[in-house]
Amino acid sequence: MIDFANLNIYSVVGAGLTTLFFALLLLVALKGKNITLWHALAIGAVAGFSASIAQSYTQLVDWIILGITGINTAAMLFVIGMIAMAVVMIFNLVTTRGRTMVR
Amino acid sequence: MTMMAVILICAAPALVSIIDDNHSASIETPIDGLIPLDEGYKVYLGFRVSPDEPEDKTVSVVNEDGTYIVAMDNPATAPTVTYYTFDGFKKSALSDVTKIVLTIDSDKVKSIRFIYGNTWKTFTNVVDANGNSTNTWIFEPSSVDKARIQSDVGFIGIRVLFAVGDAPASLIMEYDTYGTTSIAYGEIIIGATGVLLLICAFLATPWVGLSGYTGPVRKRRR
Repeated sequence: MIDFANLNIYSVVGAGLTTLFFALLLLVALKGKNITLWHALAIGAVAGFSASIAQSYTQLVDWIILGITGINTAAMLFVIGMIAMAVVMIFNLVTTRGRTMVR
Repeated sequence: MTMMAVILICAAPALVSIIDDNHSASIETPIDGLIPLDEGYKVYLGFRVSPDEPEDKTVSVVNEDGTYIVAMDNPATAPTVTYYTFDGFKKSALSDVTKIVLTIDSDKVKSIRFIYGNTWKTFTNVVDANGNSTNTWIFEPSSVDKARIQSDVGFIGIRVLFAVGDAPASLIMEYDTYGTTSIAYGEIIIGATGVLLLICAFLATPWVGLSGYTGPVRKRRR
């Protein structure tokens, strides 16, 4: 569960990164389809909900917070890997005009 | 590649959580020789914000083999007290701890927090067979908590909170820790997953693959 008592900029960034990653994975499932504003809203909502579930069961956002604050090397590697994967997916999405995200 | 990323992102922290749960549940060995609070520890009181905050906020503390007996030097201040804070944990002493058990001689305790840095986690109250709450409280630090405690600097302590008017003038807190020497499996799994994700990201680029470049090709105009 997201701990609102300890909410700070790092937890917002951690939750945002997790949501972005889940949104990209949902976009992979919708490859080739035209994305409207309503699609984007639905994807954002489902991604946010998935991120919340992942945090509840796995403390995923807590690990990301540890990584982005730079106080734990293993968590930093995890965050760098996650960002790298997201960057490559966005790059592929842009260069192929939405046809391919991962190979 | 996508499936691999999903599995890695979700499964690695989940695996750590599962190991945490099984690991702490299976250990009932008290840690011998572990000094729960540092030699220079201190106990202080918190008061509700009011203009009539007392001047004498000091307490006297006696430690008898892990049982802390705290008494307010001015018992008349008790109705305005909202918490007792035990400050002064050793980071190194907490590295192998899987469970902290507190028994407090008051049934008016509202909640207990384990505080490290600017974060706090809540102790869980133990209920008896009839579902009634007891005076025993448990906190089982996860791998995230341990990593943060060992990496972060600053305050590490326990805060016992009361509703205004419920705090006793003296408090007896029995403190037990359980644990064992263990490898930092959480950090190993998360770190290895990060490396795998980097490899996945590298392989997902259009320049890497058995069939050569797979990105878009610009057509030349004649």
